[in-house]
Amino acid sequence: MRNKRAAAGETILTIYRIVLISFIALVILGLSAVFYDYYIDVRDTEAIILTEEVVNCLVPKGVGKLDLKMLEADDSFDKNRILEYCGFDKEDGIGDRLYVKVIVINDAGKEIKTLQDGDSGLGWVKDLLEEGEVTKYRPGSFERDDFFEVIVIDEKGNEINGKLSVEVLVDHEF
Amino acid sequence: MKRLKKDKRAELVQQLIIHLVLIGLIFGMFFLATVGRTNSRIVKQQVLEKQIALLIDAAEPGISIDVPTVNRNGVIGNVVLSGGKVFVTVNGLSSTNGYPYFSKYDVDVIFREGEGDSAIDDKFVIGVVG
Repeated sequence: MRNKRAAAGETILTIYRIVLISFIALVILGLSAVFYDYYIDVRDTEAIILTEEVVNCLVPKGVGKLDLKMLEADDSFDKNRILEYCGFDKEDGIGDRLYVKVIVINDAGKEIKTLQDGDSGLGWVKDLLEEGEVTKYRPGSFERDDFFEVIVIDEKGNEINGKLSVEVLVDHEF
Repeated sequence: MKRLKKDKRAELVQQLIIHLVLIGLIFGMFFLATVGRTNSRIVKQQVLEKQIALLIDAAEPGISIDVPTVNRNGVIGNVVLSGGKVFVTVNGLSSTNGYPYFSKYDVDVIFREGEGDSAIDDKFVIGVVG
């Protein structure tokens, strides 16, 4: 004759054990998913593509002149919304994870104008995670001083030899 | 008395076997889930989504990108462009997160059936419109 109370106690104990084992297995699954998740990083490539797009927007195909006077006169131009000016509409969330900074330098190395757009905090995140192991959250980047030699028409209408220094950062997609 | 002891021992062994089977089942389930997550389907999906996003980013207006359904990365079930993201279904695995692209042009995708009966000639055509 089985003791019914003892049987019920055993069943409860079994359920408790199964729940405990499931929890341990879930932790193992979670940890393995975090550490063994294979991530393909294309953000540096995206940064290079975006750099080309922005430079082409300012100096079409690299053969035109960067006319700062004309840019200033353009109603749609805002030096802090260079992505929007270049057609990267933020309505769809495009551009949310991008940061662009273009510095126009004259031949004496003096900064004439700075154009930028996006979240400048990405630069800080990049510096912070530069050394660490967590590459997934480090923004992709493309940065080049003296990247592009151009003829700049300054605000007074003078043509001068200049250079573009470009920095583009692309954040993760999560 | 002896019989009672034997019965108790048999009951303990029975319980132990049931426990072991249950533990094995639970770990098996989780192991399969982990294998499913880390197997190549997810990696192939990631490769395809990121390749397509980069092609869209770099494309000029007027360019169309052909993505064959029978691809070296698997059989592509669907390609969806929504909310500035590319979603690719590979080998039956549908995409939940997608990958964002940042093209400033309008982009659309259509499915084009091949001339033969085989699915080899079927493709998704992504068009970039100025």
